Amino acid sequence: MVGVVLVSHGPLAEGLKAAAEMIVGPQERLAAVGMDPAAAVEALRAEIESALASVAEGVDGGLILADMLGGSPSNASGYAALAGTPVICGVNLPMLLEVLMRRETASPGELAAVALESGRRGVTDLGAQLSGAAG
Amino acid sequence: MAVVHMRIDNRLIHGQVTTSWVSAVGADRIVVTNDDVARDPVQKLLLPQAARGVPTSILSVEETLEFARSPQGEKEKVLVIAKLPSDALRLLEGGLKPREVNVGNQAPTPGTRFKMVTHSIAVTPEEAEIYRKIAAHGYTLTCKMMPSDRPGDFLELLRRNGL
Repeated sequence: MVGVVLVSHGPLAEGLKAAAEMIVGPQERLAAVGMDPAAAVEALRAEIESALASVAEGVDGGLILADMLGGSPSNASGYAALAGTPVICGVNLPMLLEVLMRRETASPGELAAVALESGRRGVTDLGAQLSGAAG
Repeated sequence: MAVVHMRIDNRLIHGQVTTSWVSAVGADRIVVTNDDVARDPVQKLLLPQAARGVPTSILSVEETLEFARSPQGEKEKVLVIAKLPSDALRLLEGGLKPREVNVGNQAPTPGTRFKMVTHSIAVTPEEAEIYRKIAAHGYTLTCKMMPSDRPGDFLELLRRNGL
């Protein structure tokens, strides 16, 4: 089991968690940290690292999914990344769902690869897919 | 150095900067200025990643002034991000002449006598004095969140908040 921390600007992380749980049911060891506009990066870093400890301790480790490379949430996650926790930026719902379904048996490193692949595959043009299917 | 823009922001390089300010001010380099950040090896590693491809330097106040006088610095169009108003003031006193100075975010420091003058800018009475000294170098200080926002006078905002 790998613990997962979602990190975002504002309520996106909490919203993604709620959306994922609507689809796959309530989740253990899934934490959401949303940055307040008045928050200092140092405080955000402390919040992320304490959330990581709460989901990743006593299991096979943790994975951080941040909303955007170069934003304060991903910047504040950088210390955890340097300490060895995978941090994937650009989280979306398909990525999160795939991670949640695979985290019982995968290692944090394997789960990071799953996140990258499913996140990229999840971005698609429905119209183009429909016209491909019709043609 | 052609400092096209100086931004006072203790969140340093982040979403607002990389998604809109860099291109809006036409910068080809970001310089982050603060003595403590410049001495932090982790920040020096992380911040250039946050800049998403824009060449980035993390410098002390002295190093920023030296870079500004160097041949490379004189060629480039630079967005300077001063972590604190005191960093910005030291740069101006050292001879840096940005085209404009804007206040981005200043998260409050717990335990100080700060007031939130916008949803993301905390100002203490001591910092208000520093902002006035910055303006006295010939600037209308603004606090635009996005480059296209209407420029307001930051000193007026301080006065309205009793600072």
